[in-house]
Amino acid sequence: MDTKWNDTADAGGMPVLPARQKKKRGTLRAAAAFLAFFLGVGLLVESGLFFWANLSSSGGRQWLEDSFQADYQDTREFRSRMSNYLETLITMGAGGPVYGAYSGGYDGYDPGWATSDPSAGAKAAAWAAQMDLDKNVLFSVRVDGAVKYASSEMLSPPAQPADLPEGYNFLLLFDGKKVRAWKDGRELDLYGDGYYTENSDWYLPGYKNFTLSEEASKVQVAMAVAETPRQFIQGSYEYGGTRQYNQLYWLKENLDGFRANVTAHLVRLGAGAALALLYVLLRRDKQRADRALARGTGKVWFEVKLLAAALLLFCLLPRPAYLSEVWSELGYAYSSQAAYAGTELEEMIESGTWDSAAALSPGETFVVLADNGGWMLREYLSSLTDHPLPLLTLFWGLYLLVFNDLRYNKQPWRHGICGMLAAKELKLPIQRRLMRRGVIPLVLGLLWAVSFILVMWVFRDGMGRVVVWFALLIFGGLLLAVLAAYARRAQEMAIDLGALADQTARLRAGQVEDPLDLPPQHDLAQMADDLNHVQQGLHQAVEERTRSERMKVELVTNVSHDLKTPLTSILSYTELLAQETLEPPASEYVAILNEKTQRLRTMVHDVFEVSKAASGQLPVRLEGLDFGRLLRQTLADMEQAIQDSGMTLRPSIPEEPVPITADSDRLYRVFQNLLGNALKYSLPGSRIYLSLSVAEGKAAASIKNTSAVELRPGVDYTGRFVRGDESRSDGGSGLGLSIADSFTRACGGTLDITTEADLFTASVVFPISPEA
Amino acid sequence: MADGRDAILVVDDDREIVGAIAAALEKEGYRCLRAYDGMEALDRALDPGLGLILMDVMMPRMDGLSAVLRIREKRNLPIILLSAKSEESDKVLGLSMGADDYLTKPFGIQELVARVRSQLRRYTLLGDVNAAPAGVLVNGRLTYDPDSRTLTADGEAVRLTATETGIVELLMRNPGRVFPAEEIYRRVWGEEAFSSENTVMVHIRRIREKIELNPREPDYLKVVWGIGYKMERHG
Repeated sequence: MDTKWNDTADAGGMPVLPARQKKKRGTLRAAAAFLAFFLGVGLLVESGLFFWANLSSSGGRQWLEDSFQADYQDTREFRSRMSNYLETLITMGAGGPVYGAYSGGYDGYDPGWATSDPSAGAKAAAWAAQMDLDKNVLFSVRVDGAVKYASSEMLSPPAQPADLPEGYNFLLLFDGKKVRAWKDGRELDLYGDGYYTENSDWYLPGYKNFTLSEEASKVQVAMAVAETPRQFIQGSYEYGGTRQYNQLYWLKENLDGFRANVTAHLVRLGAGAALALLYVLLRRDKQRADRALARGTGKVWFEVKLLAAALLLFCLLPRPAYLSEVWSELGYAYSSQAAYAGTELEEMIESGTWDSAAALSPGETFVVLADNGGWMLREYLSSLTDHPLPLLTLFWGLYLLVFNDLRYNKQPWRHGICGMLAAKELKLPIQRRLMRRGVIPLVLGLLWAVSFILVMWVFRDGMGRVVVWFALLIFGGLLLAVLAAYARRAQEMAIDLGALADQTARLRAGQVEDPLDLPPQHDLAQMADDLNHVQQGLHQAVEERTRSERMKVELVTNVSHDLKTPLTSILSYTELLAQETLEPPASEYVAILNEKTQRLRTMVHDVFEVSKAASGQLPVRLEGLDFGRLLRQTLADMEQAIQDSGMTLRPSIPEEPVPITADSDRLYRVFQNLLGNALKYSLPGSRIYLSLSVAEGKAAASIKNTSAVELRPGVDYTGRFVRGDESRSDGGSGLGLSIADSFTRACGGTLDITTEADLFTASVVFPISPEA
Repeated sequence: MADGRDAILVVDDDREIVGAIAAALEKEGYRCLRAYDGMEALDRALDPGLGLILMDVMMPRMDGLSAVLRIREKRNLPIILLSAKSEESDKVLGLSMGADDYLTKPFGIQELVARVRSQLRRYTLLGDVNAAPAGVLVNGRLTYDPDSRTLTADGEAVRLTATETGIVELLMRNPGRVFPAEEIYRRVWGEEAFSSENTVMVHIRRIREKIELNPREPDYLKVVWGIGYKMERHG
């Protein structure tokens, strides 16, 4: 890690610094980068949420537009308030009922608390009295010319803008048919093309499609609005305190406040973007910081982190209290009233203790959600935007505990209780591990099913229901998690099993170099390891054998030279001696020496042939030849020896060619040895049978003779220095059959020796080669 | 020898072998020089009376093959290699290095003497061979004159029967070619034979006794087991 930091620093063209200083600078940069990321994302999210919440609705956008108007009287909101005022005043003049307050907050127009008389007139009078306290709007309501209600300053209503009192710049007049309005002495165009639409600013009578009833036509209204709204407060202590009457003041204040708020958030958005840009530039350093953090969080048990993340979610996510109210009302609206009319539920509804969720059937719940789900989700999300700080804390908590941890710590779930259990499980024999895997999901599934039954039929309400719901969730979640983990394991195992099978096949084919490495936590890791050991053992054995073969060949070469040199001397001097005229018994001794030396020569020659053949060093020159002809030639070649032996040879060789592929000289040696053996060891005067037969694509030549001595069963006659009769010490080296066997195999054939009683059979089998 | 170059250089790091060879050769009337490694052999090889070299292959200081290469640069005389290596490839390597013959240890002293005699005769007869009249077939030690129907080995006439001469002529005319027994029989005897293998083999063996230096390991008249008989081609 450290070297990597320095590398990036150097690549950036930084001056060469001592390692410690470089490291310090690297740490600082990492911290700065992380801070930029932390603050940048925080500011972006906070301001982003603010704008999303305030601008996602058309009302919000309208309000933003209004807040940036220099004069509050130029806002749409102001026009709407004026329209409402006028509607109330005309209602009062026409004798209609006046309802509640126009707005909440600090404004207190509420005729309800000012009078206990429920009649429309009394309410209107109380209303007018309260409105009189708000000097930001002056009004007069006349019916047929007579003043019915009016502000104290407006007993004689102004007929034109010039008549407005000091500090007022907006005049609105209703003459029973139409409305006219002036601002700063200039008349406003209220009706546009004369038709009212949803988009019209003013909601007033006088449009071609907005007519009046006869009673209403008798009413005339005048309104004067202050240029700068002020606060008006009345100490109505007999009701327990003060009350304020300043609708327009608060309108202007709210607009100003919102403008300041928007500006502040724009600044934050900009700062957030700048910090985010800085983070993008320093993202390598930030990654280092992430890694450092991950090293820290990596030391904590995974379960602890999971629990902390869950707690964060639970505590910091704003609770949908608001939604539950909406849900209650929806439940009430959707559920069939007849079902609980006249029951205890009805009282519960009345008293507000009714739990709507319990009253809704699952089908109804679905309908409610289908109809209102999207809207409710939007409501919930926008209520989240009111809590940026907890939301950010949640984000950072999850970033640190979950996201960053998963990103930089390799398989963090390994470190923790589950990881330890898994590690402990790995110590079990594989069959017990696999058996367990069936049991755990079964238990969890049973628990889940029990919870489900309880929640459905036993605990229909109350605290128990909540607990069982919780259990249902937990067991379900655990079951899913365990099944997912096991599914992954099963998949891993399938792949590993395939790899193991391949590896075994490779091993069988003799590839002993590449071991199979499985991750230690895999189920078959132990098996793979064992296989690797077997493979390694084989590898060593093969290497050992190769080395020893090579050494054997070298030994043979060296010994060959060391043996042949003195043998040459012995042979030469013996021959020289034999040429001298010697007196008996010296001449007899020389004759013996000569004979034995010749035998030694043959033996040494044979020993090297066999050694070379055994170590695979025997050069063979394969060519197509006629097996039958080879046998006939061999017989012809050995004719003298056969005659001298006193045996009778009975050949049975087909005239037609028997084509095989072999080394001509080596194969001759094979039959020379086999026939020589037969001549040497047969019962005197007995018959030797030589036959060549062709069957199933194979040519088999067999030599059968009756042994002069009793044959011992179970002797491998092709072994080196093996003889039929252990006690005999004749001319043979004991290597004849061994050479025959080696040569036959080197040529691609097989030599079989069978004995039955005293019948000795040697058969040489070669595959017939296709006719050339 | 006619030109007086009758000295033989015997080279082997085993003094007893050199002694034995020298004893055998001196008995036959040859003069012997002795050397016990390749370097010494180079010195001795300068002797103007030298007629032939017997050279061991594996020796200290300088091995036999290197010595043969160096000597061949200066002298044109027969060289016979003696070696414990019996592989065909070793033999071919030795001959390609400039040796004229190759004898595998352990060897019989009689065979060695026979080969020495053969090589010396061939070298002294070299001029005659070059002047051999047209139509005379030459293969290594063997020369066959179809006109007089005579075979000579190392310049010495070989006494052959009429049938043997027929076989020799057929094979000498086609050195290297393998003839099945039936074909030899048909062309030499002039008739089809039912079982010719034995007859031909008997004659082959007899010819070998007359022309080969070691009839048990023939250099010229060879049996190709399972195929036929051939006359090995020699340089």
